[in-house]
Amino acid sequence: MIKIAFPTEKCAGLEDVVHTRFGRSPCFTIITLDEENQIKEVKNIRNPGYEAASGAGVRSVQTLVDEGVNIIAAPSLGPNAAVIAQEMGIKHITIPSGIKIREALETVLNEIKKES
Amino acid sequence: MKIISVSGGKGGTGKSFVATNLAIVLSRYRHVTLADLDVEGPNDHLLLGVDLAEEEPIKIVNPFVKYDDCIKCGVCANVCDTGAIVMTREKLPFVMARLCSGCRSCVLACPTKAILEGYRVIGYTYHTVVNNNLELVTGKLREGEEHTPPAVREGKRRALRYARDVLLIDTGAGTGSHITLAIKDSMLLIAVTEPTPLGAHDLELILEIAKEQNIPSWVVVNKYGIGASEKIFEKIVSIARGYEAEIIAKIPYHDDVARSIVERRPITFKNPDHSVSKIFNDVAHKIMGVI
Ligand code: SF4
Ligand code: SF4
Repeated sequence: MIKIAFPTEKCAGLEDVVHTRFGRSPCFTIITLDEENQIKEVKNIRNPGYEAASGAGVRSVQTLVDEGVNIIAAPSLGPNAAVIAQEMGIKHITIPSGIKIREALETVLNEIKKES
Repeated sequence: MKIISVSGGKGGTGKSFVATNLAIVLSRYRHVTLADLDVEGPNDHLLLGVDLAEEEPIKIVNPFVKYDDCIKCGVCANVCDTGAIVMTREKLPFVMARLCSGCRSCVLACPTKAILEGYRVIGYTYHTVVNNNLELVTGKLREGEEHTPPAVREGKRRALRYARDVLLIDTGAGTGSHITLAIKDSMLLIAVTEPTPLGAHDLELILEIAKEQNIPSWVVVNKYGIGASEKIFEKIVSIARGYEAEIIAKIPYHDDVARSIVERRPITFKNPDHSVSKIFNDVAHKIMGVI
């Protein structure tokens, strides 16, 4: 089962837009796909890194590890977040910021298909 | 032994230029140990035209988890302030060395003593004998390391080993906790500023840090007379007055100074009779009067 996390602005699911900064986004939208890559669940969570004074990226990754996420789709990861994500076996897929989650998901699905 | 600090807020005010020349002039009267604690980019050795020597590692605690003894409680990740411990999907702690400050909280908090202490080298200290009466100690962080306080502490500790009459501390740039640590126990702080709005702003921050530690301050205005900065200079005067800090020197901008820096031959050394060198002589005499 694939779980993809997107940094988002308003915790508004598929209609939300991709936030520019991974560790500093107010929310994460987590999409769970079934075996046929169809959307099974859409979940919004608050990002604890949003208000953290330091270590925002790492805190964010920790939350996503706890949620069982295996792909982070974001414009970029900070250096610490990138290292931790890799150590935790989470893949990063680069997507542009400002686009709807619905569109961003298409990009991610294409990447996944390309790899399998 | 007396400790005197030279600090300058943001980079570029000429703090290291003042510290190195002051060290040279003072060393004509007393033994001087100059400690370059600008650990993110030490350059006093470059200004003095000497090499870094006698390298010693700066080590901090690097925790590592003995997974056989770990009961997956997550206490270590909760007590870690720097966010250096991430719990994996299997609920095992993973330590990210680069973020770890070596505070040992996790080691002490672990209920099963599963976290052992290793060491990690975050930088180096150096000791260079410049001449009979002048020694340089340098602290330097390794590329990519961000924990300045332990490096400042180690650099200072090493400098104290050689200090006899005067320990002159060249602090790092900025106004954070590493500066507080560097200037601690000083009998005098020399704040180097320049007549720009940012220079004035940082001067106030530096004087405030000194005041908090009850360290009297003097002010050196570097690059005096560049541009139309009379108004800013008045501001510096009023800030200094507010902290009862005397302005002891105004160093004009001079091509010979710029040249001495490029050539790596301090002006007080190359040309002791230069008008700028004379300013340093006066400052040294003033310091001799209080130590
Ligand atoms: S030593 Fe301190 S900073 Fe390092 S992992 Fe342990 S608690 Fe965190
Ligand atoms: S505190 Fe000790 S036992 Fe608990 S998770 Fe950390 S290492 Fe394991």
